[in-house]
Amino acid sequence: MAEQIIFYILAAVIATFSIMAVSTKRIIRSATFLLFVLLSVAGLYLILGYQYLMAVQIAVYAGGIMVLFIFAILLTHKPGESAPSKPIAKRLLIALLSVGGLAFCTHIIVHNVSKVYSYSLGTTGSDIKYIGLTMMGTDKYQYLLAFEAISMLILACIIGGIMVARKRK
Amino acid sequence: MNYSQPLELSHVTAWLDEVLRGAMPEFWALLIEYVLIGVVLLTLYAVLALILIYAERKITAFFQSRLGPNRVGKWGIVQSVADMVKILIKEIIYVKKVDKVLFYVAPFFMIVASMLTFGAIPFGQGLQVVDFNIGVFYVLAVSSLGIIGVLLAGWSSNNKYSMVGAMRSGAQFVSYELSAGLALMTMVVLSGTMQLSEIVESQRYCWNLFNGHISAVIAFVIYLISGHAETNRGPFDLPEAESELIAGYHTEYSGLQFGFFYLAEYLNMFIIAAIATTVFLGGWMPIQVKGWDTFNQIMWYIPSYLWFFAKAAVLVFISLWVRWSFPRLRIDQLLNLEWKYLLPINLVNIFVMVLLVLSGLTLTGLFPNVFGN
Amino acid sequence: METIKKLILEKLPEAVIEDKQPLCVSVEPKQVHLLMETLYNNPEYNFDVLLKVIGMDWGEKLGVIYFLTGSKDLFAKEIVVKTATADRENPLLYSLTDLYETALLNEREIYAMFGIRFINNPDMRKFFLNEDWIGYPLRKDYDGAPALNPMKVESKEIQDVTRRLTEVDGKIQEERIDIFEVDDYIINIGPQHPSTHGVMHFRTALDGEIIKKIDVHSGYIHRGIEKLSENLGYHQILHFTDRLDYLSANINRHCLCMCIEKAAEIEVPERAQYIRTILDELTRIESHLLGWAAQCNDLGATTAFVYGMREREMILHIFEKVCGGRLIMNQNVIGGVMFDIYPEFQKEVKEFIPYMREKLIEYDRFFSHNVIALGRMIGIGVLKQEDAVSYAITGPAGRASGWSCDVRKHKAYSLYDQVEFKEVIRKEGDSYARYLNRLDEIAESLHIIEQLIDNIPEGSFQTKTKPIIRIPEGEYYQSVEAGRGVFSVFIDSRGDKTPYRLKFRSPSMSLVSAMPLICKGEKLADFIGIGGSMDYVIPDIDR
Repeated sequence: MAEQIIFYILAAVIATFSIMAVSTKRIIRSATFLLFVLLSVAGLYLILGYQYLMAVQIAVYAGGIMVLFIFAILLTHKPGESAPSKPIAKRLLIALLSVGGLAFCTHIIVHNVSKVYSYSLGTTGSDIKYIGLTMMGTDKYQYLLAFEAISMLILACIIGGIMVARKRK
Repeated sequence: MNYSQPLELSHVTAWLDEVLRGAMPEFWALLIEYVLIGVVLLTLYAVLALILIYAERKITAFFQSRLGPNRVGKWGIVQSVADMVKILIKEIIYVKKVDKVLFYVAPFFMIVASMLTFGAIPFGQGLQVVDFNIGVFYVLAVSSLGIIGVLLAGWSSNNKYSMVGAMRSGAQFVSYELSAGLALMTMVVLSGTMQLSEIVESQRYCWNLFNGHISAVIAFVIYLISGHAETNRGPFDLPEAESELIAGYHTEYSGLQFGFFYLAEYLNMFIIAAIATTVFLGGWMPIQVKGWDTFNQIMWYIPSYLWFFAKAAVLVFISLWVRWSFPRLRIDQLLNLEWKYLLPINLVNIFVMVLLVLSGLTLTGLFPNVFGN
Repeated sequence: METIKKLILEKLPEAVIEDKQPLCVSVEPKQVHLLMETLYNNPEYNFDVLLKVIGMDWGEKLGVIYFLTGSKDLFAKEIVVKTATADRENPLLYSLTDLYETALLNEREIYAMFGIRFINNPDMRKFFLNEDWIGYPLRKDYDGAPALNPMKVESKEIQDVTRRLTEVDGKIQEERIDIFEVDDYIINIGPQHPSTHGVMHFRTALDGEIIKKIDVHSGYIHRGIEKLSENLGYHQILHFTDRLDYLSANINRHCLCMCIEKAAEIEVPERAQYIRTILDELTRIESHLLGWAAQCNDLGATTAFVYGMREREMILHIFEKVCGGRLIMNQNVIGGVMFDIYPEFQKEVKEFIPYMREKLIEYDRFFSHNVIALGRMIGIGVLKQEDAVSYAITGPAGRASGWSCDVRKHKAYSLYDQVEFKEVIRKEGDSYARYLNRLDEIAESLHIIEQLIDNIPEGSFQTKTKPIIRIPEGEYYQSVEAGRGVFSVFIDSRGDKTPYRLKFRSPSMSLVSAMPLICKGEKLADFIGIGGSMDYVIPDIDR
């Protein structure tokens, strides 16, 4: 029961702030509302017992990506600047697309919800030791290759970033 | 071996739990316990801040050959309470042309982030609110939320000083978070677990600081430096550098909102000390020597939370010492220190630690009879 | 001097030379620049220091007096150049900014106070006063009615626009120049800021944390001391000097007293000379201590600040016992000192000397070799010697750039020719050199006091003077070494009981005028650190 209540609270927060994030006219407010959404999603992970995922969600999205967003906005925008209003035709189009997306998501959730739950990892899923070993293993359903490939990609990104930053001087 | 621990608070909590569960269904018992924990934690948070503020003012006065607060109460003990009351009844001023929503929200980020971290600290045996199996990682993750408060405060104040302060703060925090995280990871390698309670338990006969000798000492020093930097104190207080930026990102704040920033700053200092205590200095675990049962029993008579606060207090004192001895770094020197010195040292250090653990060259590995659990 | 006279007459046969001390040359405005160039490039002795620029209202004519000397051996040769224009409606003179950088702010001040505009000055705005101030305060026909310049309650945007006058084929052209670029990120450091050491205002353009340009605004506490002095007797104007550079209050007052004594030919008893000199040196120590403390505080070392204050307190305590004043001492009067020293004065000063020496070692250990402090000072804010000369930066800052500019050595006054001390000179010219210079000068001052304290002669400490002093007609100059550099007084007397014109040379103004130069390209944090190392005092600028 307690989990149910917390879930509904989180769901309400997610829904409210998602709408606020796209409807506000100031980009930095929008970023802040998005942050609330991400944090609430972390809360959902927590009631599912995925503590590791929760921490990753907070560290990566809230601590990393949001800081980057806000930093970028800070450097480019002045306080008090609002985005201009869109024409009616565009707004209608956006509304239509949103409704379409909503219908699509509802369909998936209603018809496939049992399948989603069958993928649950069980009790070992949230254990950090298990995650660590899976990440570093070479057996079936283990991800060393993918892990290393991504790290190479990120390294390339870092070097690229440095090159771009250096060029200015 | 079971030792008698007459003064432990865990006796009280266990008794309370029993009474509540006996008197009402589990759901309500749990609810009451949650609320109680929340209230106790918030109170502890506020009281600790008051004590820290008083301690800092007194110790600073000692460093600067002054007297410090000495008017309100004996030795000025009630001074910080009086200051708190003052700050509570002060008007909160909204400057024209600020972004009201964000200006209002920003201090909460600071205080919530530091409170979330605060909740995960093991204050004593059985005195831990949540014991995640990812404890160390959780602490790192939630403490990174505070920076958003700083950035938003700086931006929404619509003040150039605040803005420069926020920018500095962002660069500083993002950089030093790396070092703090890596230093803690070094110790995770040594302990083999991220759970804070297990980390404490593993240091029963030998603190991690000594257990991992070379590597652990390096990690400890790096953690203290970067912890300082993360909390914007000591020689790293550039975001609020009062001689350049007035008060940096919180220049425009007043009343309780300023109080939030102030409180969070002091508590973050304590949190850094608390985590260092837990990870490096054995946490709440009393000093024990294998085989010396009488000695161990005497040590256990001192309750574990006292051990914890005593160790943390030493680290807080060191932090104050550094703060009042050094001039402020410049932003480029600060970033140089992190990226050119601390980070490479850290990366090598974590590798050395892995080698130490794998080859069994830690103290517990070398002398399992003396130091092993 | 004969050769210089010949040289001037060769170049400018119509120049009027008065054989006075110092040599006085009067020329037409058009010829000033040529004359200055000649003197500046004089092979025998370069007159490359423009020590004073004094605006004058001679009644029907408006003009400027320039006081020149050379950097090689300061005060070995001095020349006064005068120029004037009869046009009171639109007076125009020629700028000397291309020869002497120090002329820039001084000419702007003269524009504000006398309305004289200078052709070729790159930044012809009023200094101290707002552009919309009505009237020119230091002119003799100035209307000071409050209704003309009422107190304004609404705030006003600062216009970052200046004008420059140029002469093309005999015609004056005026052009408007924007001080900053359009998308510069401008941050106001001051007027209310903890590290400007007073109500100083720097408009600073930043590129990230790096300073692109600084525009100095001043005058927030301008009190019109020079104007006030023109209506007061000589006894009465003495106390203004304490309110200039309040940290060298005693030294400033000493200077004015000496100037009046010299003019009115009043003998000062030897005992008074001793007391004056000892108190001057104590003032210097106290001033340098505060300078040191404030510099440390600017770099973020609050503890060092308190340490500096702690030692300064002991000196202030001695001052308090001598004359009752701590900051503003009112000790020097015309003809001697106000109060004799108290019986334990010598004992207490002698106790202070070893104590202070010990503390100097403590400062050294605590701060001078701190890694962070070194990183914040070495190589930061480098002022080259030629710039120091051009901006007429004297005092510890000038000597840190390798310029020997100590008045006590070059034109000894009071008892400085009888004591032995070293002039502290460093070549680096950075913040650290200025920092060390200040500490070393404290040690030298202690040494001076040590030589004097036991030899204070018995006798009178004050010559009785008439209640109203009249100074014979003429122009009088006197310079002393204050805590921040050469402080000097100029009195133009018409034989009245009040001066016709009184001008103070402010060493801090030179220091501030160089800030845009040495801070360019440094970080914002270092701007504050450099400001601390220059150690300017704002009331000294805003007289």
